[in-house]
Amino acid sequence: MTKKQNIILIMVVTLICIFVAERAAFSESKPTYKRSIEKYAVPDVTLVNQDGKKVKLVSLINSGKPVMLDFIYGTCTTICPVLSAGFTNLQNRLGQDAAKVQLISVTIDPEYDTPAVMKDYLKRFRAKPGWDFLTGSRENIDRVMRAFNAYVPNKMAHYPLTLLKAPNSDQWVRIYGMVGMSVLMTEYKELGGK
Amino acid sequence: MERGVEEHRIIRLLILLRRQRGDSPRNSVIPACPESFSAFQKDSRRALLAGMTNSRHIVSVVMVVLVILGSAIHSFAADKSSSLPKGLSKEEAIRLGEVMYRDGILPSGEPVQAVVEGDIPVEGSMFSCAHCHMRSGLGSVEGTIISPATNGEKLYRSRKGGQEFTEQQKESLPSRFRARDIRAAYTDKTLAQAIRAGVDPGGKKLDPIMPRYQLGGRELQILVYYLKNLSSEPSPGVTETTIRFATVVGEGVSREDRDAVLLPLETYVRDRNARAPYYKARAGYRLFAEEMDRSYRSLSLQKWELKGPPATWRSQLEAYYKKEPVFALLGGIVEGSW
Repeated sequence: MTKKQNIILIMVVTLICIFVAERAAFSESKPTYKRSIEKYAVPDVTLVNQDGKKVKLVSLINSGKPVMLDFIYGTCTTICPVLSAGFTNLQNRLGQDAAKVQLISVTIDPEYDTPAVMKDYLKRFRAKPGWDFLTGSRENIDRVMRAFNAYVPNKMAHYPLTLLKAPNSDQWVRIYGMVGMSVLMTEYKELGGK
Repeated sequence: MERGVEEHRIIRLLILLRRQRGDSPRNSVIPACPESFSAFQKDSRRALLAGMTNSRHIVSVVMVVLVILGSAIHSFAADKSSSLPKGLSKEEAIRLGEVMYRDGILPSGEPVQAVVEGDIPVEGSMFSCAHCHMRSGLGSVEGTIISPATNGEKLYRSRKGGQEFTEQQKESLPSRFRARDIRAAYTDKTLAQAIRAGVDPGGKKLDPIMPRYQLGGRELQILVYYLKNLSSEPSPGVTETTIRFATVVGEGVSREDRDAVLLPLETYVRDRNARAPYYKARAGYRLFAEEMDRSYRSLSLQKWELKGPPATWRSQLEAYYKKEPVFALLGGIVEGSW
């Protein structure tokens, strides 16, 4: 082998190595969400659900069922529909047991989200009993957002958040980011749900 | 536009060739637009000639690349002929595509099925393309999620990672500061793949929040045709330089009330038009420069005066619109209720 051929060979091998390394770096899956365990002091506020009924948030959260809570709004374009599709699918997967988990969606746009708007929204996502959409005064909604470290001054600046709590526990699992069904089901099962 | 895409494929192949010659892929730049093609071609030809003198092996590589190039052009020619779905007029295809895009309803009348976030089944009645990418197809930003533009003009050319430069600026910059492609231009085929399988022309996976749509070949053809034509022209009332608005004033409105409506609007328009050249100039140095530049068109405000009984107002307004369409109505005032 001549010196020139050697150099070409080394170059080719180096290039292949670079190429492979680059591919590997790209295909390495980044975690798409952040999970943490938190404690929250749920404020004692009375909110209004999709049927126009008054609901004490503390009572709904401590009704003896596992709870999943998110913050959405009826006219949301990108994040909320996907979060809600996750709730729809969870209820579908649970089938007969759908009402054994309490799903709570709290609006971050109480000025617009009236019970009628929220009822339409739930219908669009084929919600079954056990999924409540709550609105209230701006003051109370802000208190709830702040209590869960989810306050946004502007609804357009919100972010995907799902909070889960087992019955008789004061610990919340906080999931920041979009998650698929497998993560949602796993987290739900860990709460003691079936 | 079609030609631009074809040239783009050739450019990509030429870049591939450059990479084989040992140029670092990180420093390769895909030119922003076809105008830059000839300069680039010249450069690459020089590269080819240099390669030939270096080694005979390179000559065989060149031959192989030429063959691939030929077949690529051939396959593209086939791609082009498939734009309008068979048996449909242009209007029918656009109408069916619009229902899919805006309402998530297939030509069969059923909602489209899709999978989002990897394993969450969703259907078109829950949300549609237009929810995130907007009716205009110009895209949106909500919270932490960016929904890129989905109209043909943007899809069928490459998307830059940062600032798009003029040819002159590009030459004066070291290669590492030049904008790189986030993705190459789509073709009908790769766009269909993106919608169905969530993969961009470079083989990169789209964010899982973009649903993977279960669409048949013909449905995809219709949707792709619709996207190609989406927002291909500015909305009525918008020209290259101006956005026209109107406000409505009924007869018999007191001068005081009239001023209360008109003066703030007129002042805003005047003030904004006075600042527009400054913003336009500044936009040239910023991210999304092109969008910013266009959003600083000057504004014009028409006064649509209504006369006679309210029953005739509708036809009066329609006549105004027909004469000179406006992009939007900004408020207005009449005696009594609308």
